[in-house]
Amino acid sequence: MRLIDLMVQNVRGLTDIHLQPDKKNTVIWGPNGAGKSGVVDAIDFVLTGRISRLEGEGTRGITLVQHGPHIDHDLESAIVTAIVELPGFVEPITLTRCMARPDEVSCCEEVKANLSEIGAVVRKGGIILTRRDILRYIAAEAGTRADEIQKLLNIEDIEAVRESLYRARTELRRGEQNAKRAVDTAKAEVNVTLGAPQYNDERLLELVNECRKKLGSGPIDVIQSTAFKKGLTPPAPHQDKQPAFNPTFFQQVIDNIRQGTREDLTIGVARADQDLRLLLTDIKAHTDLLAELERLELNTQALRFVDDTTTKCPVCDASWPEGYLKKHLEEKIATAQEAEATKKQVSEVVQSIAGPSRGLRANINSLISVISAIKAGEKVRDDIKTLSVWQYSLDKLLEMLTEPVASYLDSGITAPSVARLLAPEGFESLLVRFEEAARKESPVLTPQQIAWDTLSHLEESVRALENRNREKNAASLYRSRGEILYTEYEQARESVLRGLYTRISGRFAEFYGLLHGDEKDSFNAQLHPDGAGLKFEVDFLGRGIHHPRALHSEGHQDSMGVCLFLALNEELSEGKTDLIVLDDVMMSVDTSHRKDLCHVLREKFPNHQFIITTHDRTWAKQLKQETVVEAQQVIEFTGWTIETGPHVHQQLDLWQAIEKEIDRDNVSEAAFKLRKGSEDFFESVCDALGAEVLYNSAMQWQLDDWLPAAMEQYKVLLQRARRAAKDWGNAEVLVVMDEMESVRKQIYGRTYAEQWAINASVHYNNWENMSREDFSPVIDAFRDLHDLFVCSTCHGMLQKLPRKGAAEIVKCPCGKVNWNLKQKSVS
Amino acid sequence: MDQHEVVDLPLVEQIVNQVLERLAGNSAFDAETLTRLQELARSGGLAKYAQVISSLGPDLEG
Repeated sequence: MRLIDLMVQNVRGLTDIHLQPDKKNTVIWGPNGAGKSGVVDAIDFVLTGRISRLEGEGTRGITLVQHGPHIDHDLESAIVTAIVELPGFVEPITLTRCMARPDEVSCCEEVKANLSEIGAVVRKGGIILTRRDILRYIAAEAGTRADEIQKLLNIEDIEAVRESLYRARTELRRGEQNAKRAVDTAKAEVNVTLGAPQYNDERLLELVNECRKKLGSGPIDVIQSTAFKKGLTPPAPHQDKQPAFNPTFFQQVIDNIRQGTREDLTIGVARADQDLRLLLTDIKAHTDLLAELERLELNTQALRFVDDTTTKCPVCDASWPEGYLKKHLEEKIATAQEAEATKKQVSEVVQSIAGPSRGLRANINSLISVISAIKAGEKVRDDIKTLSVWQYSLDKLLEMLTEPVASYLDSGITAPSVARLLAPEGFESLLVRFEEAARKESPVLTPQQIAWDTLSHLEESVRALENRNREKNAASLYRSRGEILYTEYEQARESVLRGLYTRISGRFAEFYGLLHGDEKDSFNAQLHPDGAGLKFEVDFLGRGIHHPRALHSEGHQDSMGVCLFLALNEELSEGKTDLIVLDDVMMSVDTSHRKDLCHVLREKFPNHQFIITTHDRTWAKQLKQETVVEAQQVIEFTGWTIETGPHVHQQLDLWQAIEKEIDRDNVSEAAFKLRKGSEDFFESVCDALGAEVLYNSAMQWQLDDWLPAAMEQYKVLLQRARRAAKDWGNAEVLVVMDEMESVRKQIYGRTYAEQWAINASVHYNNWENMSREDFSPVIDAFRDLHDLFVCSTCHGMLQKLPRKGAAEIVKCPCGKVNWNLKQKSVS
Repeated sequence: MDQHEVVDLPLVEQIVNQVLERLAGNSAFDAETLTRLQELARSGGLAKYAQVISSLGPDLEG
């Protein structure tokens, strides 16, 4: 995207302006308070519907509604219109946004989709660089810098995926734990028929084969529910009557319950409960224990990068006294290991409560099932309800034990009640009443029927166990996949981000080298990927590495910020926008480094459009001289008032401006423009060629000072270039130089003849009397003179290099002009 | 953020592709699961896969 036209009405200090960047680099310069930043805000607003300067840290109480429109103007009157070139659209697109409806932009739907992508880049700070942003990138700690850069590069989504995978891993771990508990519950159901407190494969197979033998069949050697009754036929019922229940099984369940509620067992559970409470109370009192356990892996990894001399945390970049960080990490790891041991103890104690409870619950469940089949009186039916309450209480206890740290102490289950949960008051009388009721209704079963019934119970409970085992295996597989995915993602993320950061670092180093190559021995700034962060290492005069904000000048910080921003900008989504706005970010950088920045902008970003604001006239002039911006794209803001906003002066090319005045027969104004334009021009020539200008204490120089100095320096340098060509025996260059010298003499002669016409001391009386015919030779002479100092190809100004010290070459920005000044004899 | 919206960003895609390459040699991921994972990754990124395996579990196989 490139900006063609920008019209702003009543926005942020601007009342009514029309700028024409025309897809080209443009510089807006003017004093502080002239409204330059209003242009940046207007661009921000028309592309995004918001103004980032009014948001973020330090903007409490500042809103778009209140502070977006120009002072004393309402939202309806605050309007920005931009004509832009968008990729994929042949015709320019007009975008209009009003502050009364900031979310609405007037353009077609197709453009809106395109614009929303650009808006996303702008919103993240991708095209506008302010001094505030520089502090964000340069002055921040490594982690914060990486966060800011991630926002800019639109890679927060990488973190969103990581978090999603982390949550999935946690869920899958929990799922596996639940599946394991379901297996334990299913085993407890099998144990009801086995009549054993612990599940045992051998005992199960033995019982199955005992039953099969009674039913006249051979043994099986694999535990598989579908094989239990394989080859068997159900035995005929005694007296042709199906029994309501199996009294043998019933008695076994009753016996199991009596076993499960033995005093020694309930005492053991009560003790385990006490132990668990102590452990959990201890954990609650030391909340850091489990937190450290969560960080055990991280801290163990961190310790690998730390030794007794480390003074900076490898994770967060925080400073530490020597040796303290290692000790700190070791303490944390020791705490985590203690927490791990405590967690293991908790798990064992929980098992001491959950195991017996689970077994008892399974038997109560079976008892309810059997006793419900017996025709019994009302009292027994009430007793069944009591059984259900008992079973529910045990369910509740088991549920609390699944997340004991989170819920056990606050569950309402008290220490005395745990023992009672296992053996409630009056339960023995309850069992006796069930036995009496069963005895009355007890059917007569053959040994084969009992064996068949036992096999049926086993078949059902083992089938359930097989299903739970399958689910557990699946849950383990998913948990394992979740673990692998998370680990692999973290590694791939690290690798991709490191690659990205390395590219950014490389580009940063390249740009920074172009700006500060002459200082590399005394000032060396490097940007390093540092884990998930980005770290600056800045040497200061060979005296060690320091934070970039600690010792370095604001100028260095500014140029670091601009280089980093430009390096990052290249990583933004390709093709969405070529526009880059630099909002007064070079104010602390000295003149010579600004020239180098011009080189970076011109050479490294030829396909981008820069909108640059500055309060510094010299920087604006440099941008023009170095051909970063054309003369017409230098826009001056002056004379700001609340009523009028700034006066906007978009320069014409000097010669077009003069021609315009000549066409209007306004010779006086043409002469004035020629003089002022030449004054600016030759001041720049003196700077570029290192011409000597006579010092005056008023620090004010005029054309009469700049012009002769520039002409003399050009003549001297050209003579040196000719001498050098002769010295090296370069006949071809010498011919060109001789020709240039001849042209110089001829142009200088004409200039001397016509110079009087723009002499400041005569202009008021003489210009009035001059006709356009009189003045045309003056224009021609000066135009030819100007052309001597610029390249005919790139229109950039000739420059003496190196800038400091003896001149060695004279070059233009594109390199077409390239005079060697060094002679063979002295080279 | 809606996990289904985490899609087609070049850097995320680079990461997802690296993950898929690494998983190809892992015994916990059979060919069928890998194919399904690749389809999901193309349509919704790994976040969607994470959501599927954590909430639906075995349904992934179907």
